[in-house]
Amino acid sequence: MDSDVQRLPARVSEAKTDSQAADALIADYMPFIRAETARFLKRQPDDGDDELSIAMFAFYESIRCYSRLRGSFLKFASVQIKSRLIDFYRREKRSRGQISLYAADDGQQPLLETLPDTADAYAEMELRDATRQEIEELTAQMQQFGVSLPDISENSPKQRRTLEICQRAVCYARSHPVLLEEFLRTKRIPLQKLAEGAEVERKTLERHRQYLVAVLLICTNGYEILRGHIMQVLRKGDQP
Amino acid sequence: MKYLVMECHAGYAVLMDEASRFVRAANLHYEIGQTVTDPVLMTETQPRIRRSTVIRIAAAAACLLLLSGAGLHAYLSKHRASSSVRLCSEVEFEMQLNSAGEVIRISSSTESGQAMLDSYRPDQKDMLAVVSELLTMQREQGYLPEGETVSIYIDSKDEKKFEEYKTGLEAELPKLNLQVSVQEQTPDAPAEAVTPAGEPDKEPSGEEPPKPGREHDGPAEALHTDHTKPEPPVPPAEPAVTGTRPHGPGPARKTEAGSSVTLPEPENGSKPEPEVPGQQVIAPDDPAAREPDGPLPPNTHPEPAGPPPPPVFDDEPAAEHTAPAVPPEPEAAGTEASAPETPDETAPHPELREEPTLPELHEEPSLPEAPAPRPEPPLLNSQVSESPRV
Repeated sequence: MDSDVQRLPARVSEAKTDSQAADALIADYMPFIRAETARFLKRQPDDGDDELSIAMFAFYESIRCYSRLRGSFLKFASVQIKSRLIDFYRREKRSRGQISLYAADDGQQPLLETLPDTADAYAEMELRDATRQEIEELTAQMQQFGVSLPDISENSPKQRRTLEICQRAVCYARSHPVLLEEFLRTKRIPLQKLAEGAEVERKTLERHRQYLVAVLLICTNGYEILRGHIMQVLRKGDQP
Repeated sequence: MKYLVMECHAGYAVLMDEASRFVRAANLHYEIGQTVTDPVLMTETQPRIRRSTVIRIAAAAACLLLLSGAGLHAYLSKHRASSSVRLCSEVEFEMQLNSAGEVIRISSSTESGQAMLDSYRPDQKDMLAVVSELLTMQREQGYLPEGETVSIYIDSKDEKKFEEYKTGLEAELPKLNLQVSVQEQTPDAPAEAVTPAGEPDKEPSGEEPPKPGREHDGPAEALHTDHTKPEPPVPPAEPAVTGTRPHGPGPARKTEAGSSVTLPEPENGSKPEPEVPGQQVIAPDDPAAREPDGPLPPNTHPEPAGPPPPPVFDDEPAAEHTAPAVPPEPEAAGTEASAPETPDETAPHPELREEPTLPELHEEPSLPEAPAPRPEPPLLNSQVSESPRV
């Protein structure tokens, strides 16, 4: 145990950049996460409790935000978990007056079963499977470009202006299929042509190269569901 | 906004929103391909730096700034030239002084000065000490005889510094038996300063010829004059004297530099009456000084090899004029008319004969009556003649 504590800072620093190391660290410290959640809930959490998921997410945030200036990692993670759980509790408090669909009525029947089912659950399951297949295919294709989804989530533009610049470049590439073919053939983003054609700064596109790889791949053939999800962005390119 | 679950991990899930933005959120039992509407998004906060650290860095920066500023100020006050002193004697030196009055650089435009500087280092000594040492070195090497006048030009923006340096130099250099002339450096001063000290001293601010009514300069100037006049004054030419003597007292007198000072022209013809020669004629107070001359001819200069007499004026005290400056008025000159008309024949110059006033003075009818007071030479002094003499 002492050796684990001594190795903890090194593991935290490794988990900052490696998602698999982060998952392993979370799995190793699940007892700690459960203990913190139980201290907040005043009971042992179940695996299906959202509070436990929030606690795990807070632990992952602690890994990302930790530095040696903040003292001991476990103390820092404990404070972080408690703060996240408080935030989640306040957020759920807003919908406290509402009744859950899964709550049982007087006849011990879930409320959801008493409501008319207008949605086609079958179609939804098929759509979810098709979407998962597209995502898996996209993930596999992105690996050929040397990027992963966690990397893309870090490289995704945060500010609105930067996001608009990237969206403008994607729309320009979508209106010029030659660029997309060149991108798939060379596996390199034609940044110079995108920057000149979309009249944006090349440096901004270079900073978000991984994000552009993912979005440009979605814009190619084969990802209809994903392309439909981001149609809001792609419609901007269709407008004159 | 709807989010599409792209990837699920133990602690988080990667979602893609409708604006094609990829975010991380809490994995609330999500599945890949699921569409969610209200996820718990990750708020990545950069590790904040403690305030104490900021305060420490700011304090260190402030201390560093203060130290560098103090060091810069000390360096500038120690090594930046705030004034310069130009020492002009036989050998010329120019010294750069810092604000503390210490010599930081010294140079010489002459070869002898550079040779002296090869074996001399000021090492931030005081300016007075450096000047004294340089003058002592010059004296030891034979460049500077005793009593020589040293011209020093000070260039300083600070009037107080200028006065301080001037006072110090004027107090220090007389200890070396030297005469000092301290002046402020002017743009045209260096050109004049190049001239050796043995030349006639023509300083910018000016040793102007003394004006009538002005106090005569002190002994320093007299000593300076002795060295700046290497050649003796030219004795008056014989024809000039003979031509001028009958014309009465000349209004102009030769000065020490050979120039003449024109006195106010007597407009009234009655001015050169018998008391006039007593005021204008400068005679030696000491009769003994006249004894070696003996009965010289009336137009003979008493000391042809001596220094020229200082300028003499009517209203000056007679005690300040040296006896050799005025030729003795020989009683045996003979003519009664010429004796009172030439009360001051110290330096007859050919130009003086061309003065238009001479004919007027020559026409004075009362001049022949002047010889009455002549037999008593001491009475020729204007001041003495004014006082009752027993």
